[in-house]
Amino acid sequence: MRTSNSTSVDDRAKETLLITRCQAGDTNAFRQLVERHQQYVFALAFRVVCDEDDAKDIVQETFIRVWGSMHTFDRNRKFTTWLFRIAVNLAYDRMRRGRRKNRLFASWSAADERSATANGNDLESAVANRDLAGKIKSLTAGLSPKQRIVFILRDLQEMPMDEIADSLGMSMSSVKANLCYARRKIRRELEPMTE
Amino acid sequence: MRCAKAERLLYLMRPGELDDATRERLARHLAGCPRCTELLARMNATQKDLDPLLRALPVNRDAAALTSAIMERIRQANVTRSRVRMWLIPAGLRIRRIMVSSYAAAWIIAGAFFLMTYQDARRLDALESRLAHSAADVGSVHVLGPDQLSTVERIVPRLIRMNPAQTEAALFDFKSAASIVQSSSLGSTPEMERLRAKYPRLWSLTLDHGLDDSTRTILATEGRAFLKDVQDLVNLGER
Repeated sequence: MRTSNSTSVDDRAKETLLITRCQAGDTNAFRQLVERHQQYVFALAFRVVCDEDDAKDIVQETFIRVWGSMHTFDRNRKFTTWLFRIAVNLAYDRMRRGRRKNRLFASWSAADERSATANGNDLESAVANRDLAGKIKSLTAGLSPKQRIVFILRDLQEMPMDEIADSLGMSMSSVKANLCYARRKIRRELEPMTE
Repeated sequence: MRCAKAERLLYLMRPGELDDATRERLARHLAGCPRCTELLARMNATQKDLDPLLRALPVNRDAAALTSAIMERIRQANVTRSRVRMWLIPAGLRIRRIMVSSYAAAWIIAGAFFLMTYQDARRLDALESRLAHSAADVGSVHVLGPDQLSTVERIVPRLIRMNPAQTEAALFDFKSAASIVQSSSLGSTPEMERLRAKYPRLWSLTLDHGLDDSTRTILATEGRAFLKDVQDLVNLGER
């Protein structure tokens, strides 16, 4: 699921080269970076905000910020850690603000339906996304924002614990505590269904 | 390990969540605790229900359109930034460049002027100092040596620039007279005492205040006559 973790040495070298070119103002190189990491950032944002449009907004905002701050990026650090931290923070903020809350809880608007029906595959994808959003929302409904974000990042995005702590500005013990409570609550939610 | 703690730790059994020592203690507890073992089994069962959800990846429809939208916003941001650069930053930079260039040019010109003035002043000081000594030496009939004369010759053009008519004549006479006196070794002869009496102003020259106009006049007028008398004296002595 986390494609970036499996990047080979060659990929890293290529990415470093792309970053160097981006820092020199090469937008073509940046386009390649966007294409490489867009799916992961989208998935992360979608799972956090449970809304396709909000997720796309977050993806856009993340990459705009990355481009704006590219000159400050230290090439000795891992690019994806920096990228995901920006995305996580934007998504977490959006989730906490409850922006577009009405749409979040009624995520199948007439406009979506119209646009989706124009293409069979699109419709299928839209339905899949809607179902997924519904499942995540119902599963995490009883969680606090912190528990929710930690659970999503760890269990759905499979992000390493230290990266989660770093991205959210939390201590490792706090991440563990939130994760533990989140998993326990979810298990208790699921258990009656299983029985 | 107590069951309450074991239960909490059971929720953190994925790789990277527990350190080895804790994981080992938990394993020992599970080996001797049927209650916690049963809880773990139940957790694994619910985990199976979760797996499809965890594997489900949201579909990023229109990924290409999203990329294009991002690049378009970046292009707009770049245009805005370059406009800002064009209208604000370059103006500031231009003013700063002009100021820096002006300062640099002013400093270079001032430096060059200072060097020229300083060198001229040093040359003139040296010349006047030598002339002062030489003129004073005339009184005791110790005059300019070859080195001093050559120095004077080098700096004569500058003196000429200061006051061409007087200086040139004065220096010529002075140098000539001094040279002859020196080469004749007439320093303390009665003839020289007679010359001293005849040219009291020349003898009294000290040039303490530099090569002023009155000094130049004395050198120009008496220097030539002094030269003639010295030459006569030398010719007489040789005969």
